Amino acid sequence: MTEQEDPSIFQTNESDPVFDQQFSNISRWARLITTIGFGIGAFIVAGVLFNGAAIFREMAAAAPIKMTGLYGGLVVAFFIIFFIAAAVLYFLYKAANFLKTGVQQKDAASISEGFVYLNRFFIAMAVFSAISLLVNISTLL
Amino acid sequence: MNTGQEQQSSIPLDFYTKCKIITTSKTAGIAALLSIAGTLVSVLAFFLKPAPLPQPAKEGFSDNTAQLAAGGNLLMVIISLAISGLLFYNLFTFSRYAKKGLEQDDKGLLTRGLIALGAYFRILAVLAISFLGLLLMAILMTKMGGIG
Repeated sequence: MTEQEDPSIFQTNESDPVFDQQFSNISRWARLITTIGFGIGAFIVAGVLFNGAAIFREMAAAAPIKMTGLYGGLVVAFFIIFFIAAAVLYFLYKAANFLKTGVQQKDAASISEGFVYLNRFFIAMAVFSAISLLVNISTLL
Repeated sequence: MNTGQEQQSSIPLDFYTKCKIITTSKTAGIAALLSIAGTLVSVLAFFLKPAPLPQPAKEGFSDNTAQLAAGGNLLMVIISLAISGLLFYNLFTFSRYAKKGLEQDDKGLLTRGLIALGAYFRILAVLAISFLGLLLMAILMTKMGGIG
């Protein structure tokens, strides 16, 4: 008689609505965040397109440190932060979409793809947090 | 083709999916620790090296205005500390329970972790809505000021 391996509890066909609901719950809130994030992003783009030069000039004038090339530096910093934020929102949007598809179709491949994008989102968050930590430490020293 | 019973069944998690959830939970744990460390250092910086109080540029402001500004800063620090604490708790709970649940093959623990991740995103969504509200209010006030 061959010894059969016990199937994992995650591979059984037992219905667990609470477990499944969590994926759609995560997907729903993540989708809401991305919608608001893209909305705010679009608003910022519109603001920069119509009045960007004046805003950056005022910011450069209000900066506590005065130096040459501050205006250009502010513009470059804005675009770097803007595109990183857009990438973070994109990862979250893709994760929300894959999780939603995974729940609807009961497809583990979509769920895993969703978690791949969630992982990228958390990597970006960790990088942001590390930069913030370094800036805060530099103000302490 | 799926039968009705299969439609009701739970999502089967294969080895690859479990690996991805574990990797995500580990990254989330690191992000949570870095985030709370950043907040704690900023709070430390606020008390050890406070920024000079802005002096009112117009006449008619008393010393109470400066005190009010300082009080507002302290309130902001307390609020940001509370929000960071909540975010850290939920993200770290997801990290801990999801990893433990998958390692021990315990669906209850994994569900608990996923609930915490859902709560983390819910808090982020509430913050995003609040930010949007404040942004719209600021625009409205600027417009009204311009008209007046």
